[in-house]
Amino acid sequence: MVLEDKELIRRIQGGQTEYLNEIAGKYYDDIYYFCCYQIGSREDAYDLAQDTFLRFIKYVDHYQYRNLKGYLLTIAMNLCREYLRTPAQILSKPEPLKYQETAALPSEETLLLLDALRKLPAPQREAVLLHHFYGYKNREIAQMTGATYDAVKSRIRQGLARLKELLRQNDFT
Amino acid sequence: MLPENTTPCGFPPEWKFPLDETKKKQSLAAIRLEASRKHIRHYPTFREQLWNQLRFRSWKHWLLQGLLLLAAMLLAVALRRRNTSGTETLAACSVFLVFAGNICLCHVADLFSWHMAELEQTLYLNLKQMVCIRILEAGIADFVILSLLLILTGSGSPGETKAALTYMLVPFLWSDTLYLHMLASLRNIASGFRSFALGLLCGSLALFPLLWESIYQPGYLIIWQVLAVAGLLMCIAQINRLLGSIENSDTICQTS
Repeated sequence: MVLEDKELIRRIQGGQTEYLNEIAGKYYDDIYYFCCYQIGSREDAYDLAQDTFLRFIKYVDHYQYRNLKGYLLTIAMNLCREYLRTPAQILSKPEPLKYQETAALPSEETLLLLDALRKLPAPQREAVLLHHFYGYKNREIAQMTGATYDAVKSRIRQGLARLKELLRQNDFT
Repeated sequence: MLPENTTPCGFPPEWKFPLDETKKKQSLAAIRLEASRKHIRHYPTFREQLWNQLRFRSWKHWLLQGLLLLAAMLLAVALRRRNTSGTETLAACSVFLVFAGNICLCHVADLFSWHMAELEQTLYLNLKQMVCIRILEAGIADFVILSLLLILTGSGSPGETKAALTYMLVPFLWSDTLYLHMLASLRNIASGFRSFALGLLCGSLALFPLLWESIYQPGYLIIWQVLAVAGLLMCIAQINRLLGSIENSDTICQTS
């Protein structure tokens, strides 16, 4: 039986912490992809996705249900910002992505997209990802990112134009 | 919602590439471990907090409040049936409202009894939060009583109801100000004696305007309004002072 998010949160806050695993199982992939596209590292994204759920577990007592996936994405976004602020990341320049041989490789188009997204400024990347990949509205993104509605709108427009330009340069179909 | 593996802008249909299952399992195992260690602490909602504080009121408190309200309503109805002047009805209602206000504030004063400050350390609410909740409850109760008294005394015209509201609010606000001031200043006096003495004092003061019946004339309404605003400001200042003394860790509970 698949439980609604609201019911899962109600049970967790009632003391049934085993349902935290259900939430992690349900949203792990979404959080992972967001972190991966946001930071551009397929390896570190696993750690960030894990940290997202650990942070959620830490504060779940206070959580007031509204939009669980949005809340998790907001945590992930903050963790990604912290990650990108670390000196090692600030100094590093975008380099070709490397993957472990054990993992299945993404398609060439996915790699191009990942690479192009890495070249966008972080706020534009966040906005484009949340809007075009996760389907959030501008107003919702404004709430999640703490930016104004107009700023979000502008970030999406500029980010998308830049992304298309980068993809065109790489003969992206 | 988006269909699986597509984006609205025609980005690669496989933007969700396959994950490394080993790493994902390791990640989920770490999450599972943290979830098993998690102890949920219940944080009551604001409504629950109001209700929880109400439960600490003694039956004597409810009885006293109920009897007072009943007496006020009966007296107001009786005075109207006898066609007594509106001034006397207003004065009687003012006294009852002052008593009601003092009874409600007794519930706040209970928090300042011996060892209460130490006890609150063991609870999830601190003394300041409890005081705020109880003052809010007292305000709600007073508002209900005031509304009932206004319905009983009001003539129906908005102007007269507004005037009656002002006449009743002035003694009420000033008596509450006095009560809160005494609560902060005379905290070592036995609470029963303090409440009784203050009740008598404030009740007498509320009857004071009867000595000058003309004071209830419309011409003097502006004075009442000024006094009401001043009373409100003083009351807020006293609440602020009370909360400030808690914040600054002054000796606020009874020491004996």
